[in-house]
Amino acid sequence: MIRTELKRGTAELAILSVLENGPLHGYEIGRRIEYQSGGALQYSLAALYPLLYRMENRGWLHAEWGKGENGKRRRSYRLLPRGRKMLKPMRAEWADLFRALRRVAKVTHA
Amino acid sequence: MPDWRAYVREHLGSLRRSPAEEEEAVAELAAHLEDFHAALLASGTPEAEAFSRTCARAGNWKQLRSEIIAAKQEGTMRDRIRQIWLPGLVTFMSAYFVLILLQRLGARPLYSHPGEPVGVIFYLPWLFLLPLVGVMAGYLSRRAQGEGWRVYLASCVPVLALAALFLVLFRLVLSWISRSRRRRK
Repeated sequence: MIRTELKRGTAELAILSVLENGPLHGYEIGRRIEYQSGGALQYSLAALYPLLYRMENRGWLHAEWGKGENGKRRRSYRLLPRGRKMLKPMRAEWADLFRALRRVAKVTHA
Repeated sequence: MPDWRAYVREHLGSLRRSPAEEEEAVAELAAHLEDFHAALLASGTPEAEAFSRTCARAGNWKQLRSEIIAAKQEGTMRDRIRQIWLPGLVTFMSAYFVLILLQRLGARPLYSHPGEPVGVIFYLPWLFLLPLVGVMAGYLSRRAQGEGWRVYLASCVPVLALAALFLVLFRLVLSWISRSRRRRK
């Protein structure tokens, strides 16, 4: 299981990545990340929502209320061009970090 | 089915926001817990276990509250800068440069006390331009999604700043003149 501190750093990239394919509401964002990471990345409300609000304030995401898949009111988040622009440098940054870790700590599958 | 709204409201406490904003945050968090709980039940998890796992998913409520407050405050400060101070500063600077330009172009000012050392100088074309400057600041504020009093404040910032500058300079000049007069005596 990945420790909370490590997971926090990954949350921004994970959120932007799952929103790349279309708008999702908070629960669905968390579920997709969990599913796509094979259960390794699970975010509590305290980790997910403050970050979503920050990303919304920075103009990376746009949130609006609408009807979810189950017909109930849900607040869904859509990736804005500014957020999409952040994805490429963020991915490159993480790739650099993994390469560096591989060299230093002999992490093989980072 | 538990009342997740009531549960979130009870545990989250005050976010120091308007009631409408607080209700929106409560509704969103409650919706998340409701979906999580429903998914557990659908996968065959017994009710009691589903409830306790959903409560655990919420995490630390104290931390959640303080982090939401910090995140929302960051947004408020950013909004204030974008919607009030930046439009105000941009238009204040533009008004100031227009005044310099008018002086360079040789616009003739009006004097309140012609021939006397102390008086007020009016550049009428520039004064007529100030309401337009205010409108421009209001427009910039609206473009940054400013609403209500923020737009009005942004449109007043250039004039208020110029008036403050004028009053400070006026006072400084007056005190300088009275000091030099005293020295002469």
